[in-house]
Amino acid sequence: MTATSDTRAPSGRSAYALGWLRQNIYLVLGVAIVGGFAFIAVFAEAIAPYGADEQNLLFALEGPSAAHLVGTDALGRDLLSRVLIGTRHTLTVALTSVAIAAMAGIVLGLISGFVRGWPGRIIDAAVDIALTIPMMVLAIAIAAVMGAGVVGLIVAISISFTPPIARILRGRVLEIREEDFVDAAVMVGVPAWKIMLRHVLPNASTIVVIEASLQAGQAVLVATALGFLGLGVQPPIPEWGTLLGTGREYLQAAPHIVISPGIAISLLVLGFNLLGDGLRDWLDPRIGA
Amino acid sequence: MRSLSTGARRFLLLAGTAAALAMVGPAMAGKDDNSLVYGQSLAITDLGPAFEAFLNYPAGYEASFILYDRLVTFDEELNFNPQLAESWEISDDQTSVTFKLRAGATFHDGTPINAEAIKANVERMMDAEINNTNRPLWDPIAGADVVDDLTVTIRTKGPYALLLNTLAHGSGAIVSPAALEANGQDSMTQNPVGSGPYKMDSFEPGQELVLVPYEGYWGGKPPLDRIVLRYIPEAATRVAALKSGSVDVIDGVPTHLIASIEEDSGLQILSGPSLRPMGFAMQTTKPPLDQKAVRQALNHAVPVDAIADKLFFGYAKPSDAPLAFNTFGYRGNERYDHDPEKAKALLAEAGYTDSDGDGMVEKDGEALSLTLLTPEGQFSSDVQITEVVANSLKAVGIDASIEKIEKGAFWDALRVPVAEASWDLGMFGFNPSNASGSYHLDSLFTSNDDNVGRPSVWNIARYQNADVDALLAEAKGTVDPDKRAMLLGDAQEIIWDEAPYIWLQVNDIVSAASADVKGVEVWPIIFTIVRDASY
Repeated sequence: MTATSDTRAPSGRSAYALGWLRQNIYLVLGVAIVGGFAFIAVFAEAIAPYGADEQNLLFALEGPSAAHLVGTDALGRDLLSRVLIGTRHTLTVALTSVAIAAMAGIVLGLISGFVRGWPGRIIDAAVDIALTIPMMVLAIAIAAVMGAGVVGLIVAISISFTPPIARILRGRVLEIREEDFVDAAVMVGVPAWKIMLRHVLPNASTIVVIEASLQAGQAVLVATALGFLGLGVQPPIPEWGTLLGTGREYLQAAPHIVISPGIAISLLVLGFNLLGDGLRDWLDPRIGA
Repeated sequence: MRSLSTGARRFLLLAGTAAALAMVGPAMAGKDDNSLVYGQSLAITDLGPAFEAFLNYPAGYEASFILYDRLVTFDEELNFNPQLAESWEISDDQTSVTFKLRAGATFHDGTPINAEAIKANVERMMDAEINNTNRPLWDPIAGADVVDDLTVTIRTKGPYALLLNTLAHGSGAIVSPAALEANGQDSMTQNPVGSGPYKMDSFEPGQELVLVPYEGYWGGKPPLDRIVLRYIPEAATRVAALKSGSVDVIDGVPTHLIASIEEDSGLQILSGPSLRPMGFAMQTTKPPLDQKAVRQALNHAVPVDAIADKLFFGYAKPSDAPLAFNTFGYRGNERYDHDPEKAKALLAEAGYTDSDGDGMVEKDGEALSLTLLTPEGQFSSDVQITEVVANSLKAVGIDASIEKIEKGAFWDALRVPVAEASWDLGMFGFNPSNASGSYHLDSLFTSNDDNVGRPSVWNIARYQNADVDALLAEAKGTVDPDKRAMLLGDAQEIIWDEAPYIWLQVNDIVSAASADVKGVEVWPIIFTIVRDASY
């Protein structure tokens, strides 16, 4: 082997891979961050040094130390363990609600885009009205009615996230409806529901995937914001927003309490946003910048 | 690689802005030399002693104690001191009190305070249309008679041991009858005309009340040029404002910030014990809480000392009676010490043992599951206390879960018929605003008329004991204070032993002020009084 072989430019497959990586750096980063959190969510109990509700009032409000890497809260619970175990709750709420919102959005978007006449128009009008209400306000109102709890949180976020997905999908469906292959299917007598599922939806699915992954980041923000406002899960569940909300009281005396959940929220939201941007660039360059 | 989505961009922008904001300290304006600014935790919305009477307890009351005088007032220990009355005498049959008024006192509109004015005020407050709250305080009063210009007699319908409590209460504020005549019966709510050392200069309801000295004050010219009562809802903001010098007095100091105020030589902590004992009311008619052994076990399971020391940094004291330490009639008992083994033994006595070795107790295969109801932000550290209690109940094998509800819905969730109650243990603390232990015990422990329906007062534990009922009824009709205290003490002994509550702590009321401020009083009924403040 000569030195030249080490310095020569990567050729063929590796060059392509490197280029792809460079092109899709957002996607790679997004997958890494979200994947990391998903791993923590699954194995939280094994990773966390303490239990989520393991109290020791003798060590309350302590700063970072060897025993408690990011300190303890007002009840002497290990904050690192609470943030790690809390990943599961925040991620579950965000992903479940976005999944529900995506499914509901797909049904509404398909019908309102594809079906001419009153069913489409009614859904369209309803979505328009829902879109005029700010998402956060809608989510707070629903969560307040449902009361604190995981179910309430999921319902609130799913309902407030459905209209944007329905609206975006409808636009795409309106385009696809004008394509020749749809006309062809209609002419040979394929029933409408079959056209929607077999021909329209697969062609419109990319946009839903991208929108949903971007929304997951928003869902984390809304879920933690509701937790921060006291509308989140029931204590002693260590949901991130709740950790932030209770830590706020101690901002002056023990600022370390809010730092770790704050960083966790920021990172996860960033991860989902990068993932969404990366997916968009990768899957559908046309709707890029 | 192309542009980031607006979401990602917005995120980065926000993060940057937040970092920049964190570096900019609170820039607050200074104050005039001889004025005092009191940053209150609640907003003053109205200033009249009638028509809903000073909404937003205690903010409006704190303002009223500066604007108005009463015949008698409390001191920091809740003893009675003369104010517009120089002295008083109780009649032999204990159904009337004759007050000798201070000479030369005038209202802010210049009209004199005489027996006629007092009579008019008492009669006004007896009118349920005008004084539509505080009825239990005023209903026992029969009327007022003018004896001479500076002597007035107030009659009650029967022996009424708490007449002075009523007159010292905020609703006993004496207002100018001439101003009422001129401006209307409800004019005091925005246009107060009293006789206190300071009169109103300007008032923005919900924000700020500015007071200036009343030159004609009977006690001489007041020491300050201006008093401002300003609403600052966030506790951390209040403390920051005090530290920066933009306010001179604050109330509602969170206990974990006390140390940082004490370290500051320019500030002082003003604190005193409250009259509100905290605890968890138990559904004593539902199994398994209908068994005394289980109720006592719960009391032995909870580390109340640790809550008082660690959660409240010593600014709380573990209860040893159903009444708080400074309430009239309080009598201490032997405390339930924190002893998980004893708790387990008591649970075993009631039939609950850990038969399958999983650490949780069962009886006939059924776990002991209890739901704890807590508000968020209603009482200090309420959720955290509940988490400690639930955790310590789990430690003795009880399957404890928490139901946290919004504080606006909390009182209604506590006072529900048995069938609708979602909770087994509900956090509760009662503040006897007229400082009477008889009123306190009556409200919480007299048997309900209908013990499955909605509790008529605050017996949410559905406690029923004929002996306690008899003792409390007798205490109510007993004017002799020693005898009354004895009866209340006996009742507390029975209630304490039967443990219808998990007894927790009595918190201190903690306010703070600049070190150079003198004369600020903290009363056990949660008031911070700046009437006599000076530098």
